[in-house]
Amino acid sequence: MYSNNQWGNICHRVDCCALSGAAAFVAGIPDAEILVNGPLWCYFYALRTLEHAKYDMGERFHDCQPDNNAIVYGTEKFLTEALKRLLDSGRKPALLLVENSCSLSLIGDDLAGIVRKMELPYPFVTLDCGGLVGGFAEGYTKAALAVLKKFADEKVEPLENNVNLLGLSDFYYNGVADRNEIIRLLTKAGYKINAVPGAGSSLEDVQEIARAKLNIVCNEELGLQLAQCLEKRFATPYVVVGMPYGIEGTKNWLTRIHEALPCENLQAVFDEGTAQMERLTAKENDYRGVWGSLWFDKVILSAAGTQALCMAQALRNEWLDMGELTVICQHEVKSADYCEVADKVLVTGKDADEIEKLFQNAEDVLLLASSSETSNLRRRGVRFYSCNIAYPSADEVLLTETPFVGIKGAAHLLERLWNVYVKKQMDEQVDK
Amino acid sequence: MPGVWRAVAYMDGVVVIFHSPRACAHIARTMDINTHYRAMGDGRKEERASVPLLSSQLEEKHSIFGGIDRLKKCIAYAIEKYDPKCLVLGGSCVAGVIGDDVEAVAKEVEEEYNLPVITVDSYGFLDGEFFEGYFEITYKLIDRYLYPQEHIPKTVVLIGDNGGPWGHYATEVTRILKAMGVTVIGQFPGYITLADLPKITSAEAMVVLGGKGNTHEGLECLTKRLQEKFGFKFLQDVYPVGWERTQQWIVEMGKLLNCEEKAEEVLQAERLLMEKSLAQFLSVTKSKKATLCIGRWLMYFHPESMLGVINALELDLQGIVLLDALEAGYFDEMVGALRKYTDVPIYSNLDGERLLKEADVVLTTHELQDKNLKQVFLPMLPKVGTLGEIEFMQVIYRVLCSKHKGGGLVYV
Repeated sequence: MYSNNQWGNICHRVDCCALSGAAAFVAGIPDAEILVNGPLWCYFYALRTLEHAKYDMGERFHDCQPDNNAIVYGTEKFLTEALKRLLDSGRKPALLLVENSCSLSLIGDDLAGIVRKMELPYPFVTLDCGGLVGGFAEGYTKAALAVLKKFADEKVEPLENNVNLLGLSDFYYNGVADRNEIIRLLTKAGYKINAVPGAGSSLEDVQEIARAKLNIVCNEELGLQLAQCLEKRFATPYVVVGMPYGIEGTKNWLTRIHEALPCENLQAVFDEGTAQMERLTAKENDYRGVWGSLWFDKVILSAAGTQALCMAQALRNEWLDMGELTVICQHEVKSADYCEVADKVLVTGKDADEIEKLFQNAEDVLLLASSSETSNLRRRGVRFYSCNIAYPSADEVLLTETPFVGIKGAAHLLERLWNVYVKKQMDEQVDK
Repeated sequence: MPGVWRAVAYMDGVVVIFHSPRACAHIARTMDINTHYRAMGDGRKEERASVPLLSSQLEEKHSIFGGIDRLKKCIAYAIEKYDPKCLVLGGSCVAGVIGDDVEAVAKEVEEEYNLPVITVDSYGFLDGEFFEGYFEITYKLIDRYLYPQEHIPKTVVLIGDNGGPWGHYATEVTRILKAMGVTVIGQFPGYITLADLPKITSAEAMVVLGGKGNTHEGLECLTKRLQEKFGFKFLQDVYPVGWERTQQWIVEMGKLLNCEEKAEEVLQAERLLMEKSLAQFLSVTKSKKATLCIGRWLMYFHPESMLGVINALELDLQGIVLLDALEAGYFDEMVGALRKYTDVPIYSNLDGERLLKEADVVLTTHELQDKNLKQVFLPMLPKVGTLGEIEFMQVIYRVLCSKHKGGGLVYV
């Protein structure tokens, strides 16, 4: 449950509602579908949020369209009709999530009972999950816990080298590419990926989640509660490692996992990282000859909590030099020490006034954030340079599926930073 | 609730608070970001930023204990931080279900802080849709801030939203009116500072940014109310949607504002502009096979202006496909409307499949599944005036110029 110490202008926060977060977890299971018991307005908003990452969400995300009388008379009629439509359509979802929006979660309908009465020929899970629950992370977590509570198999035994990845989402910006790179690195190191719930694993894989020897928590705001629950239920240990940005960052990340559960081929990944580092250094030397070293006086980095802190660490330690680095976390994360190089770490909600002031005074900064933050600076008419690392992203096009994380991601983000820097240098020439 | 926000979104001096979970405010913020980038994509620059938007951030516990105390704390914060000249409160569905009385809080705060507080008697989707909130706030602004005054000749105020002063509708009518020697003094609601708001009743006339649909009906009621209270002139049922209507609108505006000769000059200039553009487009568009797909109710669709564009570009309209989205009752209504202007065959969704495959361009109100079709998406709010019509034609022209083998969807 989220709680805020300050109110603050909503224009300085980036989030969406728990309805979207819960749907995102379930939509991360192939062929799973979602039925929203809530107003069309909430449905379309969540759909638009999800469609940024998966263009076919319209076919998997449905609404009951209750009218306003449903608040008084209940939603059973609308829900039953929507479920009948789904059955008549011949669709056979691998899993159906039926979720109440916030207002409909208050009227006391027996959601699970109504759905059970329909005797659906496929598995389902029901949830109260609207804005009252919180934002994306709270919804994602609530759905994850509900799915595992209902479907995780108690009888399976852990297998050697098996790990689960917790807290990944295809609906984070570039999420699919990041997930694939993490799986590639861990597999190369010798781990066997048992399940990545909410990010590509089938319901069958999720059912066998207890086969893992170790749970690896990547985005803490999404995966930590899940790891704690699995430890309690199956005694599976977990390690909170964050996201692997940069080459050194990736090595450190993998080392922490190795310490928790040793792997056979750690060196293979390290060798790949070293080779990549040498290649990038040579290439960068070439560009430095023309443009000098990467430098920004001020950098603001704003993203989901874990991502913001982990990326900040690689940004300053590996990619570019700067005068001042301010990190804005869209969620408070505190179970691991991801970043010791930021000059200031602010948390939305807690530090609303300071964040507002920061954007009021920002000029000539490098902004690693989303189109929400860039729109704030554009409206002020100040010069800045940006590189989107989070949704929403309206002012940048990302078509390739190259990750931000891992060894491949290190080259990708460094390339983007260089291109921003070259543009900056050229803009300054035009001004003269 | 987003309607409440939209009615004052760019009125400096106002602060908006949603008595809602935080996520509801993010919906308005998402609309705000989209508006910003759409304007930019259209090559237009926003002239002002949106006003602060706060949420009382209701949580689960408030559904039991109520959220009024939280709302009051949020209001106190907003007043201290932003020093607003007016506070606008919107109630969410959650606030409505748990029975929080936002109007009572508004009255209390107004007395305590000696500050105008405007709220609506509605709670999210429990009491209607976007425009219920939008118009209720608008009427309350009228009652509180506007008063009759002497009208200044050749000045107008724009009524409605359509993307604001930097949106296509407002910029196009402002361009034409300026050529006629008429000054636009503001756009109401939403796009004028609170300090300048009373000035709008000095305008000689209102120009309604209207067209079709629920919004338009709401705008018509609003316009009548403004006329009754302040004696504005306005044109009823004439909007510059489509080329024919645009020409009529210019003539009628000339009569309304006593500048008929100037209007005639402008009309001739606009006709020259259209002829010049058409000369370029026709070299490519003439005799190309087109199919029109309609899945939108008649109240949101302009068959006359659409068919006008097809005729002007001399496209070979092979037929019209009425999509499944157009439910039975609305199907016959649409056929009747189309038959006033054309006798081309009209098909239902399935029967029209062959036509789609043969078309060089498909003009459609809904995205079609077939990724090989070259589709032009017809917007709910068509672009207006001479330049709007030319931009629309240019989109069709460019699609027909394309040598790409694959299809895709292009927005107007």
